[in-house]
Formats: sequence, structure tokens, C-alpha cells
Amino acid sequence: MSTTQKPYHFLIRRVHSLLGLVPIGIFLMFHMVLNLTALGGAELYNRIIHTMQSFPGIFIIELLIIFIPIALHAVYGTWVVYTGQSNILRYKYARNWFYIIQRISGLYTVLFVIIHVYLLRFGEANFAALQQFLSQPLGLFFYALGVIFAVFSFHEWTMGFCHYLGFDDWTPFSESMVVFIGCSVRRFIRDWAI
Amino acid sequence: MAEQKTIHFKIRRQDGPDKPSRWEEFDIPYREKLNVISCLMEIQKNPVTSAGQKTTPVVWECNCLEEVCGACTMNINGQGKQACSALIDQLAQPIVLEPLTKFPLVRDLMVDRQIMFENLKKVHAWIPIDGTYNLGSGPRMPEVKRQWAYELSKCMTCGCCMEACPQVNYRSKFIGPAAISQVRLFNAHPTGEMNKHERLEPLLDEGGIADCGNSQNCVRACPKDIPLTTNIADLNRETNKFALDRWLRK
Ligand code: HEM
Ligand code: SF4
Ligand code: SF4
Ligand code: FES
Repeated sequence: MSTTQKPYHFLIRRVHSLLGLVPIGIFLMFHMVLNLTALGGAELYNRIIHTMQSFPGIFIIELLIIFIPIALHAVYGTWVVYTGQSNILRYKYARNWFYIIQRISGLYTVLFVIIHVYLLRFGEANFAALQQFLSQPLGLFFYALGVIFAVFSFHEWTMGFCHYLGFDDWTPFSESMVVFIGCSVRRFIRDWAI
Repeated sequence: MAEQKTIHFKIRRQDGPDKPSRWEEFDIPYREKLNVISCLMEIQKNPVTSAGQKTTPVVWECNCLEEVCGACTMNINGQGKQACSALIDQLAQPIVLEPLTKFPLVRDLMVDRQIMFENLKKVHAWIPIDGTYNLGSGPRMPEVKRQWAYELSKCMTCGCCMEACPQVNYRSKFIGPAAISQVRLFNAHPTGEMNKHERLEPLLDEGGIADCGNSQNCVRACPKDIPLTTNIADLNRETNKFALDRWLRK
């Protein structure tokens, strides 16, 4: 039987993976590290944000390595989510839970990112604004879930990515992402305490 | 174990592909060491529901009765299993029998798994050895490798992995883990290896290996303990290399 070769399918999937991993993933890690500077107090945090924002061409960089990849990834990712059909009610395997949670977290992450960007990038980004937002329980919940989901997504997909490279399961890298979740959670508790 | 008087069944019945489905319940006198097939045979002999109503015998398929053909695969208490090796003494009651959901229904518990065989054809899951003249004997296969390959060859195309795979459904064209795993088997064979590209190529297609969502359900659902996800991971690597190589040589 002849196969009808759709030569781009494989490529699109792999590019989608890479988009998730390289620009988005690196950005996420960068972003998290940046956020950790909030531990150094309001002044340090505001100064760093200011430095970031006054980089020449920062907008182009953001567009090229952050916005466009995320948008492409999210649109195609949503299609991929649609082509799956969870059966968690019948097969209650741990990995099957991850499968569904990673898809939910992906979708939630889009919402989160849109609102987050709307509020901070185009609004006023400083320590006080964030602190105010996070001091409302709902705001905190929204953020905590957003970050945990974003990181969870990333962690899960990274494992998936290793699988695509031919490694079977847990990798030291995925372990380190767990540590990352720990860091972010701590950060929130800290932020809230301030 | 306390002696049970009867075995209680809840079976999803459907008279044909486009007919409505309904539940029927049956009680079978308990005997030791029954399996689901032997209970279905009891129902066949006396097709009367628990409520005392006469009905048609339940339709199902079976061949080998020793878990090697895969024909009797059905959803037993919600998960794909072979009815012949599903022992009543190990199942929670009521025992719920339903047809597999990933294949077109024929009748009652009988489905048409033809798509799995079509997928095996798609990926060239065989070794071409015919020639217009005697090709002589092929290269030897190391014994350790043969033993390893034997495990992969135990696949009986039963469809349990397809049933468990969230990526196999009516919205997707995914060929499923079994066919992908067979590519690894035949590519590992010293003669099969000569036609490796014919099997890797279809895996790049829509519905091919990239459609796996890495939920790893298949490997847990496989009654033959075939390392499906390890095989998929290996072929991810192989298809990456193959696709890259083909692209660079263009
Ligand atoms: C915006 C909503 C998002 C959706 C709907 C989504 C969905 C998906 C899906 C379904 C995959 C798997 C592709 C496949 O199975 O072939 C995937 C891959 C990936 N995603 Fe996302 N994602 C989203 C956002 C994100 C975000 C924010 C990140 C980063 C933190 C991310 C990181 C990744 C990575 C690293 C991969 C590649 C690994 C792999 O292919 O398994 N995704 N995404
Ligand atoms: S690992 Fe891939 S093939 Fe196996 S059940 Fe999950 S999605 Fe399906
Ligand atoms: S791989 Fe396992 S579950 Fe899938 S068809 Fe073969 S024997 Fe059945
Ligand atoms: S009858 Fe062959 S596997 Fe059950």
C-alpha cells in the first residue's frame, strides 16, 4: 500500500516542540531567575526591571523570541490538545494524569500569559503593582496556579522532548525542574509575606 | 475466598453498527476458575437476563483461548483485556463487559480491528525476502538480539494499547503504538534492516510517530509487556536522524 506522504507533518511537530523548549522555555527560566531578585527587595527588583526595559530594541527581541514563538506554539498546541481524547476515568495511571494535567495547564497558561502580559507589560510593572495584586487571595491564587502550571507544562514537555530525542524516562533535567517549582512556590510565600 | 453463588455480569449490547446500545445483566452460577469466555458460553447456552427475560446470545470473538491471538479483546471493567485470560476469581463484580471503543463495532462485543492490520501494512511490518532468483541465506542474527526481538514479536495486534492511548481516537489519524513498535522489531532484524527506510518513512506521515503524546498508557496496558514507550523513544531518535538526513541530502 502506498502512503500519501505529507512531508511537513513531522517537521511541524518537531518545530513545535523546539519552539516550546528553546525560546519559550529559556525565556521562562530567565523570567523566573529575574523574579527571584524580588527577594532582594523592592529597590533591586525595580532597578532590574528598569534596566531591562531600557534596553534598545527590547521590543523587537520580545516580539521575535517571546511573543511570536508563544503565539505559534499556543495555536498549534491547542490543535494538538483537540486531537487527543483523555480516558483518565478508565485508565487511572499516574502518567495518564500527567497527560491530561499538562494539556489543561497548557490551556490555562495561555490565559494566564495573556492576562499577565496585559496587566504588566502594557500596564505598569513594578514591585508595588505586583505586591498589590498578589495580596488579594484571588490574585495570588491566579498567579500561583499560573506559575506552577507554566513550570509544570515546561517540566512535562521537557520530559516529552527527551523522549523525542530517544531517551525513555526521567532525566536529571526534569528533576531540576521540580526544584524550580519549589523555588517559585517559595517565592510566592515570600512575596505574600512582604 | 468466600464462595459466591452467582457471577453477575453487566454487558453492553448493540445489534449492529448503527443500532442503539443497551445494557443487559446476567447471572451465571458460580464455579471455580472460570474465565470471561466460559461465562459468555454459559450465556450463549441459556440467553436469559437476570430479570428472567429471554434475549439473543451475546456476540463475541475468540480463537486461541490462550492469550496469543488477541481476538477476544474487550473492555472488562473499563479496561481492554483478553476475555480468555480474564479470570473471574480475579475480577470485581459486577463484571462490566463492553466492546473496544477505538474500532468500528460489528455487534455486541465484536469489533473490527482491521485498521491495525492496515497500519502494519502502512509501516511495511514484514521482511521482503522474495526475489526472481534464490537470494541465498541472510545474515546471522546474534542470539542475544534474537531473544530481545522475540519479546517484541509477541504483539498479537489485540488493540489494548490502542484502547488505552489518548491519541488514538476519531479525531486523530494516529496509527498507534503497536505498529510503531513493529517497526523497531523489523528494523532490528539483520535482513529487515536492509529496508529500514521503507518503515521509517511512513512514520513521518500524518498519524505517524509525531502524533504520540507521550502519555505512556500503552506500555502499561499491553498484556504482553512489550516495552512500547521504549520502542517509541528509540524510533523518535531514528526518525529524527532519518528526517534530518533526508533533508540534508535533498
Ligand atoms: C499556550 C498554551 C499552550 C498549549 C496549548 C501547549 C500545548 C502543547 C502541546 C500539546 C505540546 C505537545 C506536542 C506534542 O505532543 O507533539 C506542547 C509541547 C511543548 N510545550 Fe506547550 N503548550 C502551551 C504553552 C506552553 C508554554 C507556556 C510552555 C513553556 C513554559 C510550553 C512548553 C512546551 C515545550 C517545552 C514543549 C515541547 C516538548 C514536547 O514536544 O513534548 N508550552 N505544548
Ligand atoms: S505513549 Fe504515545 S502511543 Fe503510548 S499511549 Fe501515550 S500517546 Fe499513545
Ligand atoms: S503492543 Fe501489546 S497491547 Fe498493543 S496490540 Fe500488541 S500485544 Fe496488544
Ligand atoms: S482467544 Fe485468543 S487471545 Fe483470547
